[in-house]
Amino acid sequence: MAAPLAKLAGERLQHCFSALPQTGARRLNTIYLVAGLILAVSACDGNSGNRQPTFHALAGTITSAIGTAVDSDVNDPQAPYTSNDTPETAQSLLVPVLLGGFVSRVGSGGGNFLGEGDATDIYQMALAEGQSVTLFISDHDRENPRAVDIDLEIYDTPDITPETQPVARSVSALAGTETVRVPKSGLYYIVIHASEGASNYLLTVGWPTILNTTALQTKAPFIPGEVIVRFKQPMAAASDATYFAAATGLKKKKGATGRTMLFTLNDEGQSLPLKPGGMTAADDGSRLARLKRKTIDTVEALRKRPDIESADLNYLRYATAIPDDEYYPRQWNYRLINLPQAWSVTALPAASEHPVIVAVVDTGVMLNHPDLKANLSPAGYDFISNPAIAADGDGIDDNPDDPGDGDNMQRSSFHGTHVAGIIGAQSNNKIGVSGISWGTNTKIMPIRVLGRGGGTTYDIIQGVRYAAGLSNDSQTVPPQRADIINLSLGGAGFTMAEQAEYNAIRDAGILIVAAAGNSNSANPSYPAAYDSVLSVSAVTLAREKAPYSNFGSTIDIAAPGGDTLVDSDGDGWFDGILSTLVKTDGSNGAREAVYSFAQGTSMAAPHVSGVAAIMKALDARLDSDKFTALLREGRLTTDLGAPGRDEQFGYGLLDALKAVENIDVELPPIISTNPSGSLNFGPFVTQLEFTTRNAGGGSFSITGVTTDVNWLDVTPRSLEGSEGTFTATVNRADLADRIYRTTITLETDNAGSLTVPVTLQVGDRREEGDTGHTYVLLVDPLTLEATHTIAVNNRAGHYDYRFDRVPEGSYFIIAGTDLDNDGLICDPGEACGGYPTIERLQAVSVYSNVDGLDFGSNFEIVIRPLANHPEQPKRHGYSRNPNG
Amino acid sequence: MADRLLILALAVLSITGCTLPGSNAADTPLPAAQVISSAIQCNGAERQPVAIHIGNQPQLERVMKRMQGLILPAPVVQIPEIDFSRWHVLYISSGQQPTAGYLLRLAEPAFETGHSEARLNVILEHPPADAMVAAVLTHPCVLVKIPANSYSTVEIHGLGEVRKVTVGNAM
Repeated sequence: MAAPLAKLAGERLQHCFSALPQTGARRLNTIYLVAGLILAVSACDGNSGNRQPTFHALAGTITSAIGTAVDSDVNDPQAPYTSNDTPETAQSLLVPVLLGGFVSRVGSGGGNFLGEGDATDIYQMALAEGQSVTLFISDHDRENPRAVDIDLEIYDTPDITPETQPVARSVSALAGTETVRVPKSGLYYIVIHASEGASNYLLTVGWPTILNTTALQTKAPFIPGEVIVRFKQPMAAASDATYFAAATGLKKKKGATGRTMLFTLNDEGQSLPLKPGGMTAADDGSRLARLKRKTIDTVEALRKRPDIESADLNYLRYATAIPDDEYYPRQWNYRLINLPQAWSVTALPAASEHPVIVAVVDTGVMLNHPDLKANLSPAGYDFISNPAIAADGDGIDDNPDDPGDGDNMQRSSFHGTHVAGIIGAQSNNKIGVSGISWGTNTKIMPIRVLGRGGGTTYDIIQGVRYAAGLSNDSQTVPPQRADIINLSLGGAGFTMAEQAEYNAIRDAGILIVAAAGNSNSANPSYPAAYDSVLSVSAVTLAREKAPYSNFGSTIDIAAPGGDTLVDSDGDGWFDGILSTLVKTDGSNGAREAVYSFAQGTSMAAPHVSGVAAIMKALDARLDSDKFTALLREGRLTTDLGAPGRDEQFGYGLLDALKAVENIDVELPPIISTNPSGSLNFGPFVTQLEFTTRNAGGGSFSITGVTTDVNWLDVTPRSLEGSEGTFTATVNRADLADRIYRTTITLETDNAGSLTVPVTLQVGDRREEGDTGHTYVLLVDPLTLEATHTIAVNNRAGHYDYRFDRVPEGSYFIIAGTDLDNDGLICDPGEACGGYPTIERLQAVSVYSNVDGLDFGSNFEIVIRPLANHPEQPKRHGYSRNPNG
Repeated sequence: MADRLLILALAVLSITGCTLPGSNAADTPLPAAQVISSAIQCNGAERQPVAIHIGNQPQLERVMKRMQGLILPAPVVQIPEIDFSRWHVLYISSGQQPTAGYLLRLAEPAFETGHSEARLNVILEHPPADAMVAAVLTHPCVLVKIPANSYSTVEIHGLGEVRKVTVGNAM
């Protein structure tokens, strides 16, 4: 035992001697000699068995986000305290501001106010006409909305009494946000008042945001021939409506004077009937397109009339279809691709009887999984030719059941069962999860090609050929070939033979979908990188490329792949993709059907396959060519990243609603911008980019871009037909402090013109933020419990922190405020940050002093819904008490 | 070579001749390291390899439940009773791996110990380089118990950079 220990000690000493001018052999002997002596000495000192842990220092700087501020009298007794309860003590703020605060009614809240409450916070700031002041109530409970009721009022005088009328107020008792709009520029007092309960809050004023668009959402489904109108003044008599109808050629259908009215277009005014699912029953596509165009034109014309307050399309708001599966609420990934809206078409009875087959070429599937078996095709097959890899006692056979792919079943992935569940788990059966193909007649054809240690290209080709109805080593083909083949697998090798096989299958009209790979690199993974295969990269809940996802020129589309290491929506569950799985009993090896979160491009690919199955169910003519054409036209995705196709997201994030909408409707050319709505430069931004594209059918070219002010310049970075990228630049140099508004007009040769509103703020620049009294935690990466805590205060926008005695080990560094004094930092409404970012925490290994661990802290505007999962308590923040 | 043998002999002599007061490490062979549990899809917050000392029964229960925390419904986890005065428990994760086909297991020999330091050898098995594999991320881990003795630090070898875990001294 001594020899390895001497060697061990020698290895550790070796680096100490590396600088000495000795030859290799002599230096090694010297090291062993010293190591042996040290062992001898340390072993005899009588204390080595009680060696104390080694400590090191850990330090860094936290920077508050620009424009942040904090309520000067929060509930945390350790935070600096200055009352801001009266107009005389109002806290002065600069705009724009994102402020975190706390209020409590008498008798609630405890902490700093000992039950006396801090019912009112008052801020003073100069506001500009048209600015919005928005209050986010962090502890608003949608299930019990009256438990916490915080109101927002603004006054233009310090003489605030119960009799004083505010300039504007928002006092909804049921909402989680309150918003008022500033009627004219001036100095204001903003009053936050707790009518009931206690809560953190966020107050935002003047931040650049994309304003709510009033542009028509012409791609959203609407009833052709119908428009919704509100008049500026209530009409005095029915004859006015009659007069209006006569003047506009519209016919009143529903509604009454003084409220929203529904009109139809007169000559073609019989709005088209709906078939189940909301799809129009018009057989004549051109007539439908004409009527849709005419409806859009009518609404745009009505909006220019002085007597009209609003005119809109009658959008189809058929309720998003929500399945009753137990775990559906945790399938955030479906909401990310607008699947519930698409389901409103597919989930209704008789939406489609057309059978669709999706082959899942993978590890096989647990055939008797209760949430899968009803949607499995009996034509599955096992193509693993090597019995040692197959682990089911033989080679090729007709049983695609998955016996496990590990050295024992406990260490098996049961990957194919997870992939199959994303596409085709039985939905609306009250158990488990939902599958994407809900409401269609889609069946999963399980093809087993991966076993212990993976699989071979040859076996996979055999499986793919079988699924495509082509000759193969099984000497048989399925009774109905697959329409879509999903390959959530990959490897590094390119072969011409394999490329030829996939070309042939694609040319036969079959859509082949594959995972792009998980090495966070541009290295091609095959089969995804083959020309004929759709390569799917992965995104997270935040619509960002997943940290593991491959990228590069071969990426065609992105879809949710999840991240099981973060809980970015705060629902108490990691953001993986939940689907069907298999668990084994360690004692007897029996398989048990369960559900589990997983992450990877393996999970992203079946989202695309599932949505393709929905499309195929609605339009039997869909083939690989049509799918590819729709993808390239941007009709299946929401563009992410660089405009158009890029290396991270391909043509963008899969959008199930767009896919369903774009199956069989041909629209006239429509100019669209991204971002849609307005460009808001706020007080800081000097340059914004926007893109244009054709959101309809046909084609058009942009012929001109104009503005009517000299402080705004718009130049095309690229422009080809309707596809353009423009850079808008503002120059504040000669502008006085106020809010400026103008428009950018885009002219086309065939799609009319589009005006883009622009907003600019000048003045009140604020460079340093303050997110409040901050606790810095060292957190055990495994248990997420704090092991060390220190508190720091803001100095010129920064917090310097230092832990002096940190035992060796790995730690997360998390910092945040505890405004409500509940012992948790990073609650909704509280500042939060982490190293290197709170979304992407990385464990810091402490085996020597570590400095420079810098990161940022900010308030999160999104107020997290209160989640309540019986299996796991909700977690809003991190305990600031060590081991608490 | 003769020099090196002399040095090693010196080290052996110094250890066997100078055991800690009350220690019987040199007299009684220690039991072998034992795997309590292992899996390829451990729910943990680590992207990188980690080695963590589990110091008591409640912490062991939390870790074992957390290892299966991605599964619904929450499985019933059998928690073994560990005498923490006689055993140290280590949770070792290989961190995030890009595909299926990875497995973390104990090497042979798994455990070597001295007076103040011990060494646990693990192996992260990879899928064959030319294999086609499932494109799902995996997080292999293993939960190991090792006999407590006079050592206070365990070096974990086999995860790339050597990981050191301070376990205190249970004896």
